[in-house]
Amino acid sequence: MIVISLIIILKVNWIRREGKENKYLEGNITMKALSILNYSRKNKNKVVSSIIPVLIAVTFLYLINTFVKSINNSLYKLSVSSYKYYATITAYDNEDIIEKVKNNKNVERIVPFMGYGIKYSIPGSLVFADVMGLRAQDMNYFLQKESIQVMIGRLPEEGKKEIAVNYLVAKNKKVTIGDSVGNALDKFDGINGEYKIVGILKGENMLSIVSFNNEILKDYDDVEKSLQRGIIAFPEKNKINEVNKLVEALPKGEAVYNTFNILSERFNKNMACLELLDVISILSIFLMVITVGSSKYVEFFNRKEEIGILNAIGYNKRQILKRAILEVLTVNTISYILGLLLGISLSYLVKENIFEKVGAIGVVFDEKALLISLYVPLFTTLFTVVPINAMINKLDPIDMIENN
Amino acid sequence: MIFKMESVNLVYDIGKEVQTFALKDINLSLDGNRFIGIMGPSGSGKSSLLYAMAGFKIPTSGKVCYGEIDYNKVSPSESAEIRRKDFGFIFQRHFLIDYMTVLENVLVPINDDSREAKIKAISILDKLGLAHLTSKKPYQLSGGQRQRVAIARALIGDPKVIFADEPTAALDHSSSIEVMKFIENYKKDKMIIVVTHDSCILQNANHVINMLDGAIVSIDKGRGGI
Repeated sequence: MIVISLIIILKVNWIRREGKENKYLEGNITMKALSILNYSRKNKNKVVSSIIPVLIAVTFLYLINTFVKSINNSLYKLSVSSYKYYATITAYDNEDIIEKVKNNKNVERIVPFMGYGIKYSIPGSLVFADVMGLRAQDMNYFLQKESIQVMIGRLPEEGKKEIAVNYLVAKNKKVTIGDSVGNALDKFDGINGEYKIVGILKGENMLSIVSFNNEILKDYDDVEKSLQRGIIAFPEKNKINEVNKLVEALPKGEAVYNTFNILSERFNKNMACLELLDVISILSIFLMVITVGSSKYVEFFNRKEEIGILNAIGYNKRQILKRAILEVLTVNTISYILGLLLGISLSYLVKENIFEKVGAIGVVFDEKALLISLYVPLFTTLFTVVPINAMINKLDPIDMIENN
Repeated sequence: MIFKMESVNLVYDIGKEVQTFALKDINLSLDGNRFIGIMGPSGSGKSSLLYAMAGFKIPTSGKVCYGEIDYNKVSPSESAEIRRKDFGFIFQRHFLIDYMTVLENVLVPINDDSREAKIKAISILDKLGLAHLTSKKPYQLSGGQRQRVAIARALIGDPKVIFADEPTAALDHSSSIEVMKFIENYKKDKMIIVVTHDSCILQNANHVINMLDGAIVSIDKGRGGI
């Protein structure tokens, strides 16, 4: 009887104690005390204020890089990509050069042209979009070789002041069929008078075409306009490289030669001014690393007591440093991911509302932008961890305890 | 022997004109589960003695051993590991981590989030009369309560030795008595070493080491065993 009573009492006590413990367990933590998650949960403001500057820097760098890449791609499409399929020779006096090209086995056909331009303006750049003055009999051949289709309307008729405009250029100039272009309407256009738009073209490049008329024929004979006058050399199938080599090997100084290689090189040289972007990027990274690194260091410096007590109760410096590195890495990884998401979203908005709206190429994803914006969290981690490591190594827990 | 100190000297300002002896020729052996007090005025070296025993301070000369381990021969990491596994610390100030709750602070030395660990922590807090405060932050507690949380933190890892450096210095009289009463409860299971300049809190100590100018001047052998 006594034994049974004792068992019951013990059991009741045990149940009471369990109940009490369960009661105090309720609503309590479910994560390790020293986990990064626990620190973040308890220090939301500090974590958010650590995330924001890196996030902004990542977003800024990503956006600025995609913005410049958009300008770059738009101008490349505008002025270089058409040369993937032909080479041109302008400003020539020596007909032998033309004969040599014409008779080469790799050249399928040569087409005479007059080069003009119409204003094309995108953020950060005001240039000419090429307008090719062609004979009516060459027009279909030209379109076929350049994979250009007539989207709406028709091709310009010979002798008339008509133009078929590339759809991106039309979008840029906010014109459509029935409207007119030319320097009579816009002084920045590089084609004389007023040309009525009769067709909209679509293709891999951004070429517009006009048909030879009396005025163009007059230009064709004008010596002063020899730079605009020339021939297009179309290669036989898969012979573009051979034709480019042929044109590039022609006597220097007797004409102006344009091939894909020459134009690409010239384009890259002109775009070298964009190296300024790299300087801006480096400066932003540097500033961000100094700012964020210092503020993160100050934050850890203010947690000197926590670090000291952890060391005093038995966590070694490597374990403490590992925790600090994990914390910095977590914050920077979150910042990078959020910054990228914001950068990509903003790049998308810029693409839609700034570039594509004016018939330019907008870039949303770019490897270089991803890489450059990665430098911010990487260097911030590095420049935060190095001084924190020095601080942890110097830390004397007893000194900290005795001086508090 | 748990602790053995042989000809231990701890000197500050080595190479300077006037050197300061924090510990001077200490020879001491301590063992068994008992309550040991270290008494002395400020600057007498009592804290230095405690920190030398805990492996925080490596003596300028002489040898300090914990069991078979000679502190001179272990790395700082190994020394930290010994502190974490075998020792519990209570300092003059609580040194609780401000953003953590009471329960989390107690769990810091074992960094364990299992249910068992939490129940163990709550059971210690319950014995200290703090079970109802598990989810409070240190700033929401009184001085005495914070110090009791620090005691719970010192006990969570089932240490073999508890080092307490002036554990009641920041407390009022009644809190001091309460804290000491609780610490003394463990003297049958652990070695408790308490540094103080207040003889009142050592009334129930088994032995008291009296220090002056870095040297042991007397040991209260009346309570025997050192």
